[in-house]
Amino acid sequence: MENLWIQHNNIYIVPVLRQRLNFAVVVQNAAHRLQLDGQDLIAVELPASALQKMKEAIEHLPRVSLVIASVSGQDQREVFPVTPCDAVVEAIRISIERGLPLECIDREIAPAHLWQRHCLQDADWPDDGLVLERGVDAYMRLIQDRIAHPPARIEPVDTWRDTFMAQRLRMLHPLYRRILFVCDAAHVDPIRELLRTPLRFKESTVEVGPVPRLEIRQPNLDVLLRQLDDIPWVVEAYEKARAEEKGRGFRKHVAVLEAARAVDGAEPQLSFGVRHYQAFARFLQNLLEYHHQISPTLEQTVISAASCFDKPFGKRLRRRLLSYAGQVRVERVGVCLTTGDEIHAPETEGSNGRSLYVARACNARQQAYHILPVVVSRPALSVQRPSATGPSDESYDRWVWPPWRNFFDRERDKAHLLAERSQQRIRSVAFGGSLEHGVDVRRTLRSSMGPDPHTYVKIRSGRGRTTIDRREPVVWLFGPAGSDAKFSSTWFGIPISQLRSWTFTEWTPLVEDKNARSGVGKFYLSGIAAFCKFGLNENIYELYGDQLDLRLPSYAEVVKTEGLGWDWPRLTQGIGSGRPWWQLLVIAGIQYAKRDIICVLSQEFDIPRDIFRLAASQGKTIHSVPLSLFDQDEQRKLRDQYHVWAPFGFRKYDPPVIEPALLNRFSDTMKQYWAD
Amino acid sequence: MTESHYPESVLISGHDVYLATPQKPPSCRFVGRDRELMYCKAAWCVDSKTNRLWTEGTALSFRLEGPPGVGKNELVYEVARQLQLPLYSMQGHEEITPEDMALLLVPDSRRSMSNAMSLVLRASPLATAIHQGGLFFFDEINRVPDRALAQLASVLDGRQQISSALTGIAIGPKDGQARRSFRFCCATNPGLRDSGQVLPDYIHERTLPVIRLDYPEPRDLMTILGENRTCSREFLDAFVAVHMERQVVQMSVRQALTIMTFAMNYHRSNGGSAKEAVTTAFDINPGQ
Repeated sequence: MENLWIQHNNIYIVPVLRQRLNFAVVVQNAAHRLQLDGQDLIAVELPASALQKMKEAIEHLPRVSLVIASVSGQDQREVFPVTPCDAVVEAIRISIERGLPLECIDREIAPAHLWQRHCLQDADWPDDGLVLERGVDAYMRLIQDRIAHPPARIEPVDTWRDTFMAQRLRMLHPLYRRILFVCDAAHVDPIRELLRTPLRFKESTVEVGPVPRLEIRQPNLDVLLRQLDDIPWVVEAYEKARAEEKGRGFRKHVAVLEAARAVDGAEPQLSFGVRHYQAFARFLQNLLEYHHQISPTLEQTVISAASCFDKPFGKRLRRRLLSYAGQVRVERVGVCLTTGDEIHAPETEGSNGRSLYVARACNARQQAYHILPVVVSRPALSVQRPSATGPSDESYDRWVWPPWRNFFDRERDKAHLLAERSQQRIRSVAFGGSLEHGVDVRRTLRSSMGPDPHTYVKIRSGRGRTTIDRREPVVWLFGPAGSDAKFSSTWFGIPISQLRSWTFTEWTPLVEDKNARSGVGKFYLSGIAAFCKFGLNENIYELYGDQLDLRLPSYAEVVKTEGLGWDWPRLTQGIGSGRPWWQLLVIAGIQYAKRDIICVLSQEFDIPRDIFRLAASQGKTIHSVPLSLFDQDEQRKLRDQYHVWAPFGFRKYDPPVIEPALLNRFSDTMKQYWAD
Repeated sequence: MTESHYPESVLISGHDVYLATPQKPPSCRFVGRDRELMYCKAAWCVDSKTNRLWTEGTALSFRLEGPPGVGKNELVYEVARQLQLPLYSMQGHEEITPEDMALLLVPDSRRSMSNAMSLVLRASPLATAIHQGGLFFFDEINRVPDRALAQLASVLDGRQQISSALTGIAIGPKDGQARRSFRFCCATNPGLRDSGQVLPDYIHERTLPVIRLDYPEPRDLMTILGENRTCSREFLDAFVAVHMERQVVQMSVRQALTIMTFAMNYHRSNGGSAKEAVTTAFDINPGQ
């Protein structure tokens, strides 16, 4: 790292921008490089009256708070934000942690004198990441013009303060070996000038005037987010790095890459490969270079993630990056129907339109957060595993989440379609006037070498039947083949009569409410034999007629053994004896198919010949469809079978009543898991 | 580089190979899509001020996704116009073979028809772009069979070469400049997903980032229609009126242009007011 201070005799001045994380890192590095000890002093640009309350607020970091100073008889209040990303706060923390002397040398200013200061957003302000690359000198040269004039400087207040601080430094510098002075960049050059010029008159450093009253307040969301640099989560990451004594080497762009890894790590089934991360890092870097930036913004980070991972990942990353240390949480409350963009619930305090809250310094690159999310904390929940009970007179309260069910049925239709298409094959025939599906170049070339050259073309022809009954079962094999997933099933009817599907899964409870006996959970499917569409209800009897018992297994066929889970004796003790779980699913599909079984399988599965012979012996055909014909998003959604449960007390199987109740009760909760 | 500078044939590993000719992007004003254009140029390491390729940095082979008619091709053309580099392109379809991606044996059109068939080697647009340097665009790449796509694995990683099964040679950049100036991008139609036409994972991972194009903003749509010289002010106003009345949320550029063309043709044949013609066009919606 380049130079970290501007030196004047034994005064080491660190010019900073307030509430900018990179400058907190600069102060960390400056204190470390100087190896400060008890003979040195840390001086900060704060009035002495604010110090005690600032220290109290610092004890609660990373929680951000505001120290508010008020003077009787005045409406304005002065605000001193206490946030980890502020360099002055960082300096105070270093003095506390290392037991170093500390002086607050700014002038006491009545808040009313500060009301003229307006913070303006300057989109062209040089990226403060440059200060870590080029040093404070170089950065000061870049911003020199901006900090010499309003709104960075307000006269005569700032000149009063410069004079006061310079006088205080004159008094203090003989008393200490070195002084590390942290102050706003707008004051550095005037103070240096004052220190260089002879003293013409002695400025009194005795404070006169009313003593301000100070209190600590919690900021509303709008103000809070302005104290958290560009990306709130990055400040939280800095806090963690600081606690591990790694704050000096902290870099924002490294932190956002870590955030992406953390999001991926929280969802193991997302399984993004190395190339995704490489593309993400490179694309983000390219965007920064394109805009001549060093520090990534929230939007750049999220768009890079959405482009290089997928859109849901980008949304998850956005929510994570906007969150901060439990003080800010983000929840999606809906989706804009026209654009598909997420909408967050705004929560800001109303403004009465008057500038009551003033500050000594502005962050000239303040971000405006227009849409702000906050989550109301939910009551503590305990684990409640859903009980897969059999037919009974009790009401049945666990359901497959309807949007997942609809999606699964659509994918089932796609599997049928792909199976039908795979029956067609390509043949090569001699050219007879029509180019059909194109010239068969290889065969034509080979023919041209022979005595009787011909031109050959390709034609597509069906292999026997091309239509597959949509009522036929579809077996999905996701893997891994060596999974020790447990058998489960979904059923139909109250009381339960038929089984819709037979699955091998791992159960994960997601949200539970012990008191309300409700919750959300997920079956992570290793494989599923879907005997019929999940969306079929009363019309299932019409669709299958007297074949229902032949086409769908009845509930009576499955047995629950305490401690061992569920079993299917007819299959596992018969032809399925000793077979791996996924072969049992295929055999079950053969058992209940009429003529065709569709197997959608990943590359690791290879259906053995004897199972094909078993199907052929029953006059049935197995159609294999590669899982790779479904993109990653589809595969991910297919594998996560979401269930919801609540004590609705339905005693009759009535989907028009049940489903609206489910959607009404669980839509909010499910938004964080299921995005259509 | 002007067209006269493109060599007709080159010698690659001892084989005389005829090169593909670059595509000439249509010269028309590009409207909107500023953000997507910026993403494309950032992915391709283009300097924002000079529109020149960076000498350092890692270019990415981005993929455009979006429904038909939203301007994926036009976006690539605009990038090519701004960079002023040759653009080669291929249209993906189900019959593409691995040979089509590299070198093909084609009849030599310069020999007389009465002579025995003479074949020459012709490089695909992709092979030409790799060898000569330039921009390459693969449209509807998800239509291409997996076995042909496998050729792209060696193009899209550090090797930057493509193998020809026909000749047994690997076609790579002719020099360092060609290597540095090769850029790849592709486009997919997500609507083909339902028929199983999805990219295999290893191509999906090599064609990142994905830049999504949604339906254009109504303002941009109207500007594009206004750029159409045959479209009069009266018809444009009628289109805006009917568009708002119908509260159309999503309409591609292609659909809008088709509706306008149909409306004007209808008006020429049947008379009536511009609004009646546009209303009829919306009812029939020939763009769908």
